[in-house]
Amino acid sequence: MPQTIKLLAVRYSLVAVVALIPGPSLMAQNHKQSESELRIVPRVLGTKQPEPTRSQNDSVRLDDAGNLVVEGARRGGGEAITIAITRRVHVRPIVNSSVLSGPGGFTYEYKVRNAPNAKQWIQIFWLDAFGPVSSARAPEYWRVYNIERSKPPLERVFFGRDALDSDSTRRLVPGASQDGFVVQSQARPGLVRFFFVGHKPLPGEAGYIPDEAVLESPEIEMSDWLRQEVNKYLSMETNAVVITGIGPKYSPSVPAVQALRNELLEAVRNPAFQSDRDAINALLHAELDRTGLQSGIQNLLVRATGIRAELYSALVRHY
Amino acid sequence: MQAIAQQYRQQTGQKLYVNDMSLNWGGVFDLGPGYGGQYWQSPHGEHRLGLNVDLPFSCNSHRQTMFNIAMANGGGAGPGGILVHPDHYHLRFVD
Repeated sequence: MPQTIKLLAVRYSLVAVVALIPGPSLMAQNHKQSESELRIVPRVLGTKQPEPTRSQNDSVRLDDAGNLVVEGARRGGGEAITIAITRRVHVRPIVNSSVLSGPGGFTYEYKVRNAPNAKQWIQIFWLDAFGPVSSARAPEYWRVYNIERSKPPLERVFFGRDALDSDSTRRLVPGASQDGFVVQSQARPGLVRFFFVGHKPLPGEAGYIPDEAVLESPEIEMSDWLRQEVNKYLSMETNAVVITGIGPKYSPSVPAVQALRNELLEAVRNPAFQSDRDAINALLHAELDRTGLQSGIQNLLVRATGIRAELYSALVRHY
Repeated sequence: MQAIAQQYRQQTGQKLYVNDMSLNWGGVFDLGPGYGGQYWQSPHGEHRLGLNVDLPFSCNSHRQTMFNIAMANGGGAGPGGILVHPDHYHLRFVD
């Protein structure tokens, strides 16, 4: 009986929803059909745009340096041209993380280095934290530009240069490093993504090339497909170098065993953990409790360096 | 855009100048030849979408700061990110 009531309730709520949607054809169906024949017909607002089609000569690719090469565009509808666009991916970031726990939660401290073989200096970077970030701070000549919270539980913390354009003090040029980037959160540590954006010379600066302006030039014609593909390579998250680091990941309510297993599963898929893959898989298949998992992770920590040592250390100390 | 302008003012002490901001719901907003302008055409094709804004370099002197503020506040979140023109940034927001 309760099940019947439930079904009726669902059925009548659907009727109510349908009745609220203005649409002559659908309303007509409602009148014609009995309740048992009621069907929900999705109402499409507007006309769906067809997917852009690729022209024969359209091509978008990355060259060996990671820059964009676009073929298929035409100047003034005639001469075919090749467009080359330098991306903002010529930075070589290395992040060293340390995690401290205290009464207010966890303090994540970062030292960022741009390796000597980079070609651009780091202008802005962000990390994707999960769980509430209570505060963040940056060293002098840098600033926390925003903590973006529009897609919970994701909290995106932006650090960027804060100086006059002409002031190169504490720029993260190739070979330079900077510490003092701090995030505070109740969330416990795990692997998170960092995005680094390099500086492209601006008009008036040495090395400026007006390559991006071509994309909106009135003289250049490109198919919609070509433009769509170009945009994919120049979007905020693709026109950046993405690396893994340690950051706020699990709210205190997430069971420790679940968080530890999740992190090990994520580590298995991360190329930086390739040398430990078999050992991690063995841990995951052993059905261990928190103490057992942490004991196994401690064994991995003994011979780990870099991001592996940072993760294992965090998993042993903070869960 | 309000957040971007406010942060720019706070960080630099200067007003943020904006060009060719899309209308809220997109659409053509230029007046045509009879009013000294010209009908909507490239390079402002994208501005019809209601998601695009230009920030001119001539009036906004802190260009790197402006880029960072825009990036951190959704100005590069649209397809293609922030484009750099010889005289302005072209911001692309998401709907």
